[in-house]
Amino acid sequence: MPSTDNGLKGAVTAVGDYVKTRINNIDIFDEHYQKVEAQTNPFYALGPIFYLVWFIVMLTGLILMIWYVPTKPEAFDSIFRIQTEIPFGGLMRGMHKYGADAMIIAATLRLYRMFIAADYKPGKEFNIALGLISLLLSMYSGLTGYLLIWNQRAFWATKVFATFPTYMDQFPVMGDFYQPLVKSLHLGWNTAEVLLGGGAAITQETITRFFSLHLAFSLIPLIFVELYFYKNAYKRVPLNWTKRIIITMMLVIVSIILPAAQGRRSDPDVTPLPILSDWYFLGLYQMYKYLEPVVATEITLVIPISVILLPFIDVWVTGPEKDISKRPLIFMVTLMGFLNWIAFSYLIIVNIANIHTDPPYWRDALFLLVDIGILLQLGLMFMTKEAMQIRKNAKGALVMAIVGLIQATVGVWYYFMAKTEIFFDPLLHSWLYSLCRPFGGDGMTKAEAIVRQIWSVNKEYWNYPFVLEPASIAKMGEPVVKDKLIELQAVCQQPAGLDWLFKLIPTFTPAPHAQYFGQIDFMVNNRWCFDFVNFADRMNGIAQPTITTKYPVGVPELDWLWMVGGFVVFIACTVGWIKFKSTPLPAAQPAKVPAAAAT
Amino acid sequence: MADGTSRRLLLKTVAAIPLAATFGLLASPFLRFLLPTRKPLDILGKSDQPIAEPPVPTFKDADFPAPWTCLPFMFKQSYIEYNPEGKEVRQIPGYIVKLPTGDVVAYSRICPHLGCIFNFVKDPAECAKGYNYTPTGPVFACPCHLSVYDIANAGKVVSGPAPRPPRSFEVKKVGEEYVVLTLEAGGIA
Repeated sequence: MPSTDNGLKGAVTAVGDYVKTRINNIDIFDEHYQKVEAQTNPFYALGPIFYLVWFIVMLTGLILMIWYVPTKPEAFDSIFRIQTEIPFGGLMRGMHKYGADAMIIAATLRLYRMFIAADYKPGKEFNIALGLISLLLSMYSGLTGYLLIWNQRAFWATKVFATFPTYMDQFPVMGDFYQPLVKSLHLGWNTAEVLLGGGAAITQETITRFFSLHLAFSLIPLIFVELYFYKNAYKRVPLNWTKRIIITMMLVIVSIILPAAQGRRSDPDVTPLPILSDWYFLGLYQMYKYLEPVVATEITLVIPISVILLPFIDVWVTGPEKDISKRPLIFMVTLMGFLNWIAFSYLIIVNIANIHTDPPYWRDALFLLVDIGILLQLGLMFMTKEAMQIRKNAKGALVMAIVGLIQATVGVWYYFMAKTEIFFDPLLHSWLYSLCRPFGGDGMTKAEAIVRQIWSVNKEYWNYPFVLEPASIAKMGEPVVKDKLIELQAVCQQPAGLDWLFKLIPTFTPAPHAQYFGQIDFMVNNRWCFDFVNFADRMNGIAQPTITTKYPVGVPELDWLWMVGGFVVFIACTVGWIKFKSTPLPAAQPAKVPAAAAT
Repeated sequence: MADGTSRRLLLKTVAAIPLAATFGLLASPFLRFLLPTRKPLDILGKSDQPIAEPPVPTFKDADFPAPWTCLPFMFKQSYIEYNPEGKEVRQIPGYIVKLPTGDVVAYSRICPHLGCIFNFVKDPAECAKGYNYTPTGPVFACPCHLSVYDIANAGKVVSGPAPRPPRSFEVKKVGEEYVVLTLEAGGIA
């Protein structure tokens, strides 16, 4: 029952109601679609199929555990024994492996079905997150399970998987860069250590930890799902026995025809060429070949977040509409995801891609497919005739305008990145610096002149108080340009407009630099000044002594398409928003006289 | 009724406090994630990243009969681990190469991209076939994501996604011998 209260209490109740409705609407394995939809559409059997295969995988896994030895010297041999000597061992292992693959296929198809058929409407947005969690848990179990074989592919896939979180240490704000506001948290490094079993290497601890997680990630969710089914008295696997036997037999036949491969024993000293991961990670693996590792790590984390956000965006944009032909935005986004995955998997299999020479087709595909979806959606909005619906479309146009604005911002950011080959953090530093620069006065100009001279000597001289400290000089020797650094120190004490602000910020280093002298000191001693001088020189084409590349570098022509695309989408959607917003509402209908009063 | 509600609330709260404390204590080890593991600006202090340990191998002039002679060697690298010793020492492969200029350079074979072990590829044609890049001479190349490093140019990344050159050893010539000295810290293995 929606709240009629106003103010804070009403808002809290409304949020509570919103969340409660969605929790009540939770649908884990399509149990709400069995009466109607599943009778005509086989895609609604994907949930029960996932559940059934999960049982098969659990059962075969428990049987495999009888013979499997989770130790570094024994693991590979025990798998070999299971495969060749134990009666039906090969069959059990095949069903376990192909069952896991079947779970991933079922979970993926189910997610696509949910998006295409809008199963998250009305008020069921959390189901997408649940579907995604089932997919991610299957993939994670696939990864942890694969290492247990202790073969080459598993070993190197695990190494890549465990190393990529270390790049989180280079993320803005979270990472090492915002010295001295945030010291290194080593968040990524710690994550890698937790994944690997408490260290930085794949060892016995890793096998033990992965073995336990492999079991835990299946058992614990199974207990929760069973409790949920029991509490709500749902039928557990709503498939008749014919269907159940067909699915089981599919697994049996595949494992007999195509016995699960074992590969070669892992060798930590030799990475074979070529080396691939499991089929469902191939697309991601290719992305890691293609991108700067920090960006690849960010995208890996952004994909699940955007999948969870998509149903909410769709509800904001199209309201209760379920027909896919009237939701081109979602159609194009799902198409983009699918095409990217197929294309990237294909590229890694045929191994023809080169990060340094290939034109950026994939960036165009990524952004422009979504842009086309947004523009088609906007076109549908403009074709709407009903005044009430037009007013409702204003919100959708605004949401799409924000998406366009984000893309346009990324485009501008990318423009400067491509021109100067300077990455996220230094670019952000330069931008913040240029905002504060007008307040810097004469001292700022002098500081920049000195920094321009010492930048090519040593890029770490932003930390001048440390370099000039007698203790450091005793350890490292005198800096090459000591007189310049002393000059810089003097300049840093000059007054500037924003001194009051920057004096509030602690340096976190008791000695030799307990607090900032003021704005200029902060800007120099956090390398903002260094980054800005580097950036400005590259943009202005001023030659830098130690750099051979001629800056500014040109932006690849194909990139202009998506960079401009962001602005086009933003402007079109903003125009739409203003137009829809200003449409007059239809004149209020005359209130109907209640039947009782009429008599 | 109001009385009953507040009594129930009170009882619930009293019951919840020990539970919350228990779960809070269980979760508290995860606060470690928020602690900086490195002292502020402790540049000259000991690194918390993996570092190479002595003894280090030594090579003779006679070991390198021709330019581009590449010799594999193993060295010890210690990792901070949560075991009783507080660290684990592992054997890591490395390469020592004589350049045509006469210089001898040594690198850890751990790829700085995502931790695989890279190879020494002498034949440019082989590199072009397997790693999608045609170099001008022998290179280091990693099979995982096809990063290629130019050995003659201080390990510069010439192809692939690696963010930096591989970690290099300092090599010192003492008489007839090449002594492999300290390695840059870092690198998962």
